[in-house]
Amino acid sequence: MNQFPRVLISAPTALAKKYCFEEWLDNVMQLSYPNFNVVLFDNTNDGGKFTEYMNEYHKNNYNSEKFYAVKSLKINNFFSSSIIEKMCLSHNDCRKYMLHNNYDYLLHLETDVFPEKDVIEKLMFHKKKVVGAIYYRDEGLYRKPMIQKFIEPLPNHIKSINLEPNEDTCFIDGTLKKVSHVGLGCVLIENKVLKKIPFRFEKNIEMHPDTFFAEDCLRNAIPIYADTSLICRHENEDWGIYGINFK
Amino acid sequence: MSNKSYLDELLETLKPQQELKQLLKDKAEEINKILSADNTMNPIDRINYKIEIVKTNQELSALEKVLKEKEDYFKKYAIQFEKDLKEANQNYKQVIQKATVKAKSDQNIKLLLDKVNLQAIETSKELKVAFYKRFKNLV
Repeated sequence: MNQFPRVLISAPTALAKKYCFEEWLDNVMQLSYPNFNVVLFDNTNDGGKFTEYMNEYHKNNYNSEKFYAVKSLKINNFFSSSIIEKMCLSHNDCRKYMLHNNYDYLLHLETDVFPEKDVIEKLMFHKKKVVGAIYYRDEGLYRKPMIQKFIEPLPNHIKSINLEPNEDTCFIDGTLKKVSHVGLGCVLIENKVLKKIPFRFEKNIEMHPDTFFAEDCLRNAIPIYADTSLICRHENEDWGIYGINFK
Repeated sequence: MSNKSYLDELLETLKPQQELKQLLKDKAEEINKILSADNTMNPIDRINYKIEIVKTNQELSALEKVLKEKEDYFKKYAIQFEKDLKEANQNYKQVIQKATVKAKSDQNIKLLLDKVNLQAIETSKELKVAFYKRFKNLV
């Protein structure tokens, strides 16, 4: 029996991320942690073609028990015109799968984020309930770390702001830091946390499930940490317009 | 207008980090010099200096990773951006004209046009490219 805690690597994905899927899977399959599985929840509205493509790529190149892609919308028999709602649904697919199959941790790893080989061991070493690696977001001169720092914790809300593009110079110093928000790009979350906190969104509020998750952690007195020694490559591209460039 | 390439502009934003990298290297080197020059140093002071080297190297390692991530990303991003900017400069007015006409019958375009300040967009090439791509997809 494997003595290492069981880790599920999971995230929503879609055809819009096909450009880096093969490289992403190659990177994930060479992670050094000895006890993990990978399940991706595809929310592309294409009748399952992208899901098939991902499973086929894995079969042809690895054929292991470690990976499979699932059609997220099919599972939930649901269609939404809101990308936030769709994302939230798929985040919860990851959560439900993790809880149902009794994994100890979820490594929520977005499908354009490339962590270091030993990312799981390093994050787990901290023994924190929610701990993430650093990745950069936005484009060109606006590129900045996906980190929000506390300004002031209020009773029902986090008053926090994004790090500015050059604020990382002194912030990223290789230590573990308490932050208000580390995103869902590469974050290790303990089973107990997800039992208590589902991913959610609210209609008519332009706030993504990752931000709600950070707020809910705060409300439940669960601190969020960022390991500033772990820097992931983020192959983000402009997705275009929801409903036009992708559905 | 600056003659610098967009990549140069992007790489320039890394200067504070490159400067810090050099300072951290200098710091580690100076501490090593102190350690090897003074054989009579109190053992606790010697240990503290060595701890400082470990911490400096940890900081340096994180900084080097950040610099690599950003440099690699900037190089890739700048190539696409220069292509998009060239196209935007050639076709921007035409696309905006089309969008203005189409806005009469298309609520999405109308909403977007109402929200953006077209004059402000002209002052920033990043904004110009972003909105050009958005409108191009819509018209």
